[in-house]
Amino acid sequence: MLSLFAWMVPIAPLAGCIICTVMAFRGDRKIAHLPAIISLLFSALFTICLVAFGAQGDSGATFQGYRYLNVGGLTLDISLKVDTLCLSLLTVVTCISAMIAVYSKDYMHDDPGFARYYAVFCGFVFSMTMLVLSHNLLMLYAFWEGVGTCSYLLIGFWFRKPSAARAATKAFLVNRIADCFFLFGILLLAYAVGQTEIGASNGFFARLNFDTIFKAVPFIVRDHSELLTTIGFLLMIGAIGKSAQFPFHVWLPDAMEGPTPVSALIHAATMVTSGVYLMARLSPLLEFTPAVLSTVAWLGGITAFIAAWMALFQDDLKRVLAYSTVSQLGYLFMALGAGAIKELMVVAVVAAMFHLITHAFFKALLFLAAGNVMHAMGDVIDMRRFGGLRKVLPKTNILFLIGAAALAGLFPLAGFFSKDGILAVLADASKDGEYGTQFSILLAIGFVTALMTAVYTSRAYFTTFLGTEKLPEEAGHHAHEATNVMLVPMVVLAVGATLAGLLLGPTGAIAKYLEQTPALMSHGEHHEQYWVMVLSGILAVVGIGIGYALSKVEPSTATSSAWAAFADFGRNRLYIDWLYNAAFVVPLEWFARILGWFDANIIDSLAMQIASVPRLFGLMGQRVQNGRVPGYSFITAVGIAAVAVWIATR
Amino acid sequence: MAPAITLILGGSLLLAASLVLKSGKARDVHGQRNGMAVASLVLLLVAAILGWIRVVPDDLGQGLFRFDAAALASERLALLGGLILILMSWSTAPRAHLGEYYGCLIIMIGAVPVVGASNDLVSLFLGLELISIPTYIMLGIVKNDNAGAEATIKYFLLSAFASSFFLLGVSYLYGFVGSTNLQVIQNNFATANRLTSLALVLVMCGLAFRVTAVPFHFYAPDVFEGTSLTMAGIMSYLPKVAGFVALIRIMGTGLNSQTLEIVVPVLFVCSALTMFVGNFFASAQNNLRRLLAYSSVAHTGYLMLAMTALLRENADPNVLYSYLAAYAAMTLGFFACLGEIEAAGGKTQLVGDLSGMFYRRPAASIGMTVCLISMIGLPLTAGFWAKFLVFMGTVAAGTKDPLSIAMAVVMAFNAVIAAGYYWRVLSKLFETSDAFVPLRVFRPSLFVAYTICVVLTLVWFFVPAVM
Repeated sequence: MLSLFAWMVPIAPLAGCIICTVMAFRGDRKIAHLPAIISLLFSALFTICLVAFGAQGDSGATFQGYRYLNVGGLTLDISLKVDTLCLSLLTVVTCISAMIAVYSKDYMHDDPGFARYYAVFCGFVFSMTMLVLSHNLLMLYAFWEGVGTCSYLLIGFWFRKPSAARAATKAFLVNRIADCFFLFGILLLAYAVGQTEIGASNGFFARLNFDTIFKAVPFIVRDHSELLTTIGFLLMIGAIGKSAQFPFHVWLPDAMEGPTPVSALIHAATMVTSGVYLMARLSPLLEFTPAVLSTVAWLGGITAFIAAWMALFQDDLKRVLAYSTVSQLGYLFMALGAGAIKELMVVAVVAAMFHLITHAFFKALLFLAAGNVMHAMGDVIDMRRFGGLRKVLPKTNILFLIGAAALAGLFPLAGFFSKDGILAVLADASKDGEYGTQFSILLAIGFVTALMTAVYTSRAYFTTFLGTEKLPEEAGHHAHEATNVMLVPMVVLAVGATLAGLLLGPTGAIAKYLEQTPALMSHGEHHEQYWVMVLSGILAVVGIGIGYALSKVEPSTATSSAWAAFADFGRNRLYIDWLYNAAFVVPLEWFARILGWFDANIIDSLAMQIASVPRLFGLMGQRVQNGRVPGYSFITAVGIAAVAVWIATR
Repeated sequence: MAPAITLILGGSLLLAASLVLKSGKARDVHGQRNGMAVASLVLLLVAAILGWIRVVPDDLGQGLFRFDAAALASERLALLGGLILILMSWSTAPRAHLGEYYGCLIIMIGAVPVVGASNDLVSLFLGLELISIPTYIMLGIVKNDNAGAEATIKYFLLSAFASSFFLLGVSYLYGFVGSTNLQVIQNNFATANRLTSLALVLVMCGLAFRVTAVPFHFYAPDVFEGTSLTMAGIMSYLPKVAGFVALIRIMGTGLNSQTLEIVVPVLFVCSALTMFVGNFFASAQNNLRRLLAYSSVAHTGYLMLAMTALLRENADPNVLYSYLAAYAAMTLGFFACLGEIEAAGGKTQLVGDLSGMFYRRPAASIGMTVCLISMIGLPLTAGFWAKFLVFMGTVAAGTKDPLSIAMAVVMAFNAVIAAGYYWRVLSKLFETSDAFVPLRVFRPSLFVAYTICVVLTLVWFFVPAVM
């Protein structure tokens, strides 16, 4: 029964994807949302069933699927691994995607690519659920690429717009670079597992089953501990690429070229968190590689800070949210990095997963609210061009306020508890002897970032919804509140953003639930630290005050030159994109031009010559095929005679 | 034997029905056409159900027929091909001879399991002739013009010629063992000598005609060109299945190493020639029918390579069966697409006739695209696994025998040549021009036929175990 539920979770969206693809080919524009929404609701329902029934039974089952391939010593078994770690993310993915699919129905209703949108949307949910449920690292990698492809297709959804096409390519290429390292890491891991007595008996694919990996890890530590660190670094690069961490963060803000619901689902709530999920999933391996985890913590800290910095000076509402996503993901990685101290590994994973869940709710909510604004403003999203929308969009105003307050970390909304959880883990880590100093610095960064988060969030809110009413001309006369179809899913998300923190965090529910995962069994001591909670609460309030003040100030009237430089850096994304362009893109383009010439003039002409050979042979041989039966039978007889002679001489 | 008996008896009834069908002006052509097709489908369904509920005994016995894996597989392949072929025939069968046409077709479909289950040379030959003789009749009735008549006569003469080789080989086998029972013959393979090898090679030659292997392939392009599309589909599939199943039947087990040393190189040379001739000639063709005939020849080459792997026990017989299944889906699917275009008023004689077909007839063009990709052997289609498994089977012998590595290289080389001409057809489909007239006539039976093929081609990639 559970096996059926588990299999239905990915199969339902797959069915939706196939139906919508057919509809897309038929040019359907009206009913493509029905199969998509129904299949996604089913998927969510089955996930909830899994959570409900799985809680009583064993919670670490692997459900056999089918044997995809068995050839030449390579056996591919497609199975699903269900435990509480994956169920927690699975619930988020399926529920939020169902909500956003409902929302998209009205958001996308005028688009000619309506069916195509839903086809890729379902394809994404299929890939994502399979990614989460994979029992094998290589299978996870396959669906890792699957979500990447869907993300590419959706960022470039309006592919006739050059900026969208460019953003899609950028996202794809940046991810490819990271994925390349990820693949090397996987292959190296397969090699390392094969060297141990556990893995030697398994085929190449079976070696990469998570269970086999975890069993083999102690042996790898014993025999090749440096190799394990290398593997850890390679896998980490894959994770930070998908999760848009420094230095791979450049693709995510550009990804906002896609439709807003897609930004909400893929580039805020689900896909970008799969890097965090990967690290959490591999935590039994990573706890032996503290060097990797402390690097992760630093990268997360740097990303959290610089992304918040950039978010402060963006004028595009969606970009503020995008940078905020990058920054919050940095938080998650900071928390995971605290696992460098072995006793804190489980606590770190729990804190990261907790913030992941709450963040998914409130960030999806914020993006959808931004989508409402964009919808009403005639696709204008520049905050300088509108303002005081609380009258025009009264309901969106409230929903955005809830999301923003949750993001800023106001008590008692979800963000407060989960952010506090991360800061508390960092505070715990700072007491450690070996890594204490570095985590003290990271804790400080965490607090500063928390303050900045509150500042940019409240600035965005106050500029958009408070103040004097200002509408761009693109809005025309139809600046209206969103339809109920769009508002209802947002209300659901708002309830989640409000209550998820309170229900899951202080009660310890999420910690207890996640620790049922076999890989996360070892209990770490976690100390409540009230000063962290109080401090972060105060910082949120202070930040909101600053944000209110900033929203009143015209950006051009900066006072001191230091502040101007700070603002200038933030506005220009710290010149990182510019640097990448100058250092990598332009030289590579020149290199590609040289190769292109070589290909067109030398390889191509050679290939054309070779390609004409078969045709030549064929034309030569056509004489034999003259349509005359005696000729045919003569050749046949000669052939048989030759064989007979050959046999006789043996 | 229940499914085969059902089909052959049913086929005979349909043949007999042609006597009582009204002809002349009062004739209800549409009613007869639909009735015949539905009757055929019902027969197929009954046969499938009978096959489904049959309980195979543990002891298979020594009798005339034996229900082992080969028998079941051939039955499955025959039913699969039969379903698609009947759907294809629904709107393309010759109206003047409906009874004869369907009767012959059903008998042919029923004869494949007869070959597959045969445990005796006599019943095997009977099964093979049950395929050949209806083919002569059908070739004669589907096209009453000079080209059709020429194709019929050519096929008849060459077929008789090949059958004589088969019988010669069989008589040697009988002389060697003193029995026509295949199990008895196979038990005696352990003491085989050079004469046995000659006998086996002659048998192979006889079967080579059915599977269109070089140097027995000559009829294929002429006949494909001279007959209808559906008939070309029938001829590229049913005799091939029967021929390979018969090969497996006769020499699938028990060959000793001395015999293998002679048979395998002959198969290698034959397979290499078949691949090269098929692909070289196809790449020189602008005539679509002849191109498809040569493509069918080339696929035989790959199948013969699978046969060598099977003889040396490097591969399962399933490799062969799954290749045939994939082949059925892609080739018959392609013929069904062409048939629909023809039924809608388009021309399909030359490759150039397909120019811009995507804009004229999108559904059939998408079907053709999938089938062509499968024929090339690219991933996401069944053709990929089919070729891949054959390739793996060939390479598996490589540690002992460098020749088979060479054959694997030859196969890879041929796959590239094949990709060239398939791609030429594929790119024609998507050529653009302003002058295209859409083809709007819709034939549900053909549409269903190629939809089944396309879906199977795609599904088998993801679930190769059921192929």
